[in-house]
Formats: sequence, C-alpha cells, structure tokens
Amino acid sequence: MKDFSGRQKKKQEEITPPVAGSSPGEPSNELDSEILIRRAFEQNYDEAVELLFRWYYAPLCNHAIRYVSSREVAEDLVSEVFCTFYQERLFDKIDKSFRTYLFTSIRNKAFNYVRMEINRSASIEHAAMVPDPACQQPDEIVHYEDLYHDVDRVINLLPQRRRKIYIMHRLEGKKHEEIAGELGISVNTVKEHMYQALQQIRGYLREKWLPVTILFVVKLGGVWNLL
Amino acid sequence: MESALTKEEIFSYFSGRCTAFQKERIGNWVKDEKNRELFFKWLHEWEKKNVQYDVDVDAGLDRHRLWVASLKEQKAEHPVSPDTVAAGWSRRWITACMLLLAVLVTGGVFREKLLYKSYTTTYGEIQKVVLPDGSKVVLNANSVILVPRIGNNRDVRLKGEASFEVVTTPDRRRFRVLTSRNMQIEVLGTTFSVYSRASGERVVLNEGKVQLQYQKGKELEMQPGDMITVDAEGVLKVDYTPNPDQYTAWMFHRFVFEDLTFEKVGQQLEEVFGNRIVINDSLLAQQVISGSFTALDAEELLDFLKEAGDFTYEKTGDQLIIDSNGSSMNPDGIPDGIPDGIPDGDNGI
Repeated sequence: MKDFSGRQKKKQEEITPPVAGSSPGEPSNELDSEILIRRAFEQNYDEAVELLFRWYYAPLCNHAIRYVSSREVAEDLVSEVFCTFYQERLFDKIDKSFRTYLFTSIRNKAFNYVRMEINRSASIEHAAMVPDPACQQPDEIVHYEDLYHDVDRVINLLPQRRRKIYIMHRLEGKKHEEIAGELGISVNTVKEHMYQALQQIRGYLREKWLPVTILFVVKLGGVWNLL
Repeated sequence: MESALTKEEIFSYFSGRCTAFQKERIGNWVKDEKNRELFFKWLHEWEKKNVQYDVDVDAGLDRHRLWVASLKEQKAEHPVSPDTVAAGWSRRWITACMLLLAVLVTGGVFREKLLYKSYTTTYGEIQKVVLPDGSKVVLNANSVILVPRIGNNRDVRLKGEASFEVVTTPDRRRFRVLTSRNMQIEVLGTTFSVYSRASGERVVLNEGKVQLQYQKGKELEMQPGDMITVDAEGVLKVDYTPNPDQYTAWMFHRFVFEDLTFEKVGQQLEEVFGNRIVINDSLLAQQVISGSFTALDAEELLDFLKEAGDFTYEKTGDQLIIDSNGSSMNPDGIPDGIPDGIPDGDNGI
C-alpha cells in the first residue's frame, strides 16, 4: 500500500505543470490527480480503482456523514459508490471528472437515505437496494447543502446530554450498553434518549423534506372524513 | 450569466454561513457545467480541511478488495459472459450440447432449470439484478425472471413485477420480455416497467420506444409515458401517465395509490407481502385511497392508513383481518372484544 503514495508523488512531479490559471490562486495538484488516475486506468484496472479509492474515500465519507450522521452508514454508502464504479467500469463512460461523479453519487445516495430515514427507521440494507433515480432527486444542487445544514442544525438543537448520547451512538458507533457504562446511566435511559433524539430529528426534517407525505395525509384524511 | 464566485464564498456556503440570497446566486452559478466542476473541486478541498471524523481508509480499502475478490469468484463460476463470447465459443458449444442432451433425457421442471437461469424474490423482498447482457432489472417482491442459458439471453420471461433498464448491445440485438399471458415487449435499449400477475398486466414506458405484441399478430408502439394495462379478463386499455415513475415507486418500498379502493390496496399488499388481507366491512372495502407510503411490510402500511382511516386490524397467522371501527364505542381505539367478522353497525349516526 505504501508504494501507492510513493508513486503518486513521483508522478505528480512528472506531470507539472498543467494548463495554468484555469482559476486564479488554486493549487494545480488537484487537476493532476485526475489526470494521474485517468492514466492509471490505461494500465491496471484494479489498481486504478484502488488509487481512486485512496484519493477520494475519506473526503466522500466525510461528506456523507454530514447527511447520515453515522460513520457506518456513511462508509457503506461510499463503498457502494465505488462498487458501482468498479463493476460498471465507469471510468471511460463518465464525461465529467471522477470527483464530480463520485461526489454527485454520494450526495444522491445520502439524500435518499435521509429521506428514507425520516420517513421510517430504515436500515442500511434497504438504502442499498435503492438505485439513484432522477425522480427522487432535488432539482437544485443547493438543496443538498440545505439538507445537511438542516441535519446539523437539528442535532445542535437537541438538549446537550441527548446530543452527546446521539453522537456517541451514531457517529462513534457505540452500543447502548457502552454509553450507559461511560455516562453512568441506565441502558433504558440511553434508549429513551435515542428514541427522543430520533423523533425530534425526524420531526424537524420531515416538515421540510417530506412535503409529499404531509400532503397525502391531509388528502387521505379528507377522503375518509367524507364517510 | 452570473458573475464569478470566489472560493471563500463557496467555502462559507458549505459551512452554512451564507444568506438565502447568496444561496440563490450560487444555485444559478453552479448550473453552468464548468462551474459545477469547480464546485466539486472546492467541495473536495473543503472536506479535506474540515474533518468530521478520522476515516480508516485502509479498512475501507480492505473491504473493497474483499468485494472485488468475491466478484471475480462469482464471474469464474459463470464464465459465459458477453465479454468472453469470442474466446469461449467452443466451451459454449460444449455446454449447449450437454444441456441439450440433459434436456432430452430429463424434462419438466428440471428442464426449465437447465434452460433458464432464474432470479426469484420472496414476499417483501426487492432485488437488483444485472443480466448477462448488462441490462439492469429491479425485481419486485414475489416475482421470477427467467434468462435463457442458451440462445439469445435477451429473451427473458417475467412473472410478477419488474423494472427494466435495457442496454443497447453493439450488435443491436433485440431485448424481449415475455409475460405469462403471452404479452411480448420488444426493445433495443430503454427504461420501462412490467407488471404481470393474476389480477392483470401492465407495461409503463419511461424512456425510449417499445414494441408491444399483446396478442398473436397485434402490435402497438409505445411512447414515453404510455401505459398499457390488460385486466384479468384480457381487456386492453391504453393510457397516458404524466408520471411513469410512480409505477416504479415500489423500488423504494413505496406504494403510490391514486383513487384506489381499499380492496385493491389489499390485493396489492397480498401480492407483495404474501399476507391474506380480509376486509370485513364491504363499505370500508370500497373506500378510495390516494397517497404515497413507504412500508416494508403490510402491517406498516396499514398502520399508516389507520392513522387517517377509521379501522382496526388484527393479525392471525398470515391473515390480516380488517374491521371498521365503531369509534364512538371505542374511544381508545383499542378493540375490547375479538372481532369475528360481524360488522358492528354503521360508522357514526
């Protein structure tokens, strides 16, 4: 694995400098990484995907967790993006940069996951089955930021203790028992806090992100009231 | 044309420190493809600077390698894939001859197993399948798709419900879906969904063009948004739906009902989840439901409906028995007796 980083650096030096000044003041090594990875695909497919993985896995997880607030889910979703990329040999099919493709995919996946989670307590298996359809996606790119900002806001709105428990459970992946032990409270209290936290988060996000659902309840109620 | 945005502006936008007006400006700016590349480049940079947690890349990579290895193993088990057609001709012939021989010797169900590779889902299960030709299929619950092992592997058979995303092959071979009632759908490459169960058949086209043969010699050409239904009696109807995606909502465990009677809703639940749904009140059974719901089992969906509708249900084994609720008699909504199928009078006075 070490040889990868070694090779990356070497090749970067070889490739400099690319087309200068596409945008002032930005480092050009970003552009290089894309060229470098693209070249790698001409040689060894598996290694090239691994290079891509090394380059983007961490930032993608870092991005996904802003939506899903769980390390495990974030990593599962990102892994899936790479699996799709690998299996469908997308390197010569996508007309944009790898970075744009990868970030767009993970944002779609994370977005769908949150939508599903606020609608119900879905497990990762179900998100895994969901392809990324155009129909479910927001029409504007800025909606993605809106969503993770809202997620962050609502987590911050939780009472401090509840927030701590939520983060320990979701982000750090600690079990209820572990958290109870660390904080010196009962397991049931931890569970109750988690339940309340999820209710609060879902309630907050639902209003804005599931307008369709709210609409149908009203409509449905209306039909039934006619009885 | 929007004026250029700086990296600092975008960074504070990522951090959630920008006004609604700035957001609007960024939204317009990013519509330009070149700007979008820049946007993601900056997002990448920003994410590297604003670490949420320490990601274990090596562990992730190990997992990825394991997955790649298992994928290769799978491929080794099924060596006849489109990429190896040229190289694998002789092996393919041997396999074909052996299969043919076996078919001649045996027969019946076994024959089907030999001739077709089948993908099956049980109740409540949704499966994504990549066919040997690269086309993608999402199979809804309680469905079977059969793919020929010999001959054209693009002649598939379907029982149940599935959504297809068909790829065009270099030699432009046709892709056909045959349903149990002799409906035949023929395409080159496109997206559509097919439903074929006891209660009828339905084809909805999302993209592209489709040739549909619904009886011997009778053909129809479908355009995107066209929906063709054949009911249990064999009566064919052509409709247009502005919203073809609603017919594939099941892929997300969603149910979309548009003015559907409770009875029909129950029928759908039976098909997908395998429960028997018994509605004890004929008035209730004819109630019309509209809306969309996400549910992983029948009870979850009934719970949703229960919130708005005036009924209770009870589970006994595989059966879900639904009774209308005498709400005035039962303010808690908890039935105190065991409903035995006798409707308990009118709703309200």
